[in-house]
Amino acid sequence: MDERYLSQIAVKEIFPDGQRKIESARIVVIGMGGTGTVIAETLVRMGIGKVVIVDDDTVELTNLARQALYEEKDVGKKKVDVAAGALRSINSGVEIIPIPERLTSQNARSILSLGDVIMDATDNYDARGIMNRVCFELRKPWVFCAVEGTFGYVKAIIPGETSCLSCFGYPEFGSGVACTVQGVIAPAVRAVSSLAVSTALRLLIGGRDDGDLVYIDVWKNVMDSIPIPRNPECRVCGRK
Amino acid sequence: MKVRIKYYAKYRETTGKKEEEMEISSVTIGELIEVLKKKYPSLANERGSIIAVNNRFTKDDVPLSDGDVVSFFPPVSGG
Repeated sequence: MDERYLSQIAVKEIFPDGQRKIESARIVVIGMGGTGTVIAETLVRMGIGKVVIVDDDTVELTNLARQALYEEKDVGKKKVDVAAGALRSINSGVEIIPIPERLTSQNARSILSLGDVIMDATDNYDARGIMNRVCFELRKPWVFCAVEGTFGYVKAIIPGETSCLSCFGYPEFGSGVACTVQGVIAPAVRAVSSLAVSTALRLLIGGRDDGDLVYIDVWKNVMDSIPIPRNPECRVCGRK
Repeated sequence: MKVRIKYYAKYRETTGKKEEEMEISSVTIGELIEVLKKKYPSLANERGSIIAVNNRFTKDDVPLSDGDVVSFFPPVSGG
């Protein structure tokens, strides 16, 4: 076993058996913005076997205050190309697959099929609605996360076991509000992203997740975990 | 009846409170929201909330009971 992972293997929640599962796992990260870059970097550092990164955007100056992996010289370049290069330099043992596309209803099945677990790092309700629906159809577990200002949410969604986004009325259509308008700070991005990665690791290694909505606010030092029961009338996952 | 209302994230700035107790006649969640929008007019500009009653999320316009705790979370799109 690669000695670079010694510190995490010493953690009882991981141990060698967990590390083997990490190294054989495939994860798809939808979006390579604030949460996506931090999520992808953490997964790659920890040794996930294959990481697929999906985004059609280019790097902008306003990204650099909170998005990992990008530098000033990268402004104007395709995000997945820059990110792939940075990730491969961090850990050459991880297979990185860049997909320079936006997630749509047309490509969702083929893209989401590539992972054992899907990470939501999107910035709009339309994409999350597509992920919610298609991950349920494919029975792919996924991790919802969203961040704004100083706070954010994380939730595990295990099709057929936990509630989904539609169960509790989370918006599934619309573009949402841009980060430059609503604002967001890097500590909130990293805190929410770290929770999302821990959640994914639990799904991979076999830990329990009831699908509670985790809320965290890094400015007010508040963290809450709120149960969300499955809705039997849910138009996505109800009675199925 | 009395209900306790908890505000999360930007709703705390909008209302100036983390939580409050409110004495109201029998209402549904939808009716409570209308009461709150009258009390805090800037809430009317907010996008639809994610709502939990007694720590369980619901999107149904259910009637509230004495002692219920209603929590309001803003939807978030960013990533």
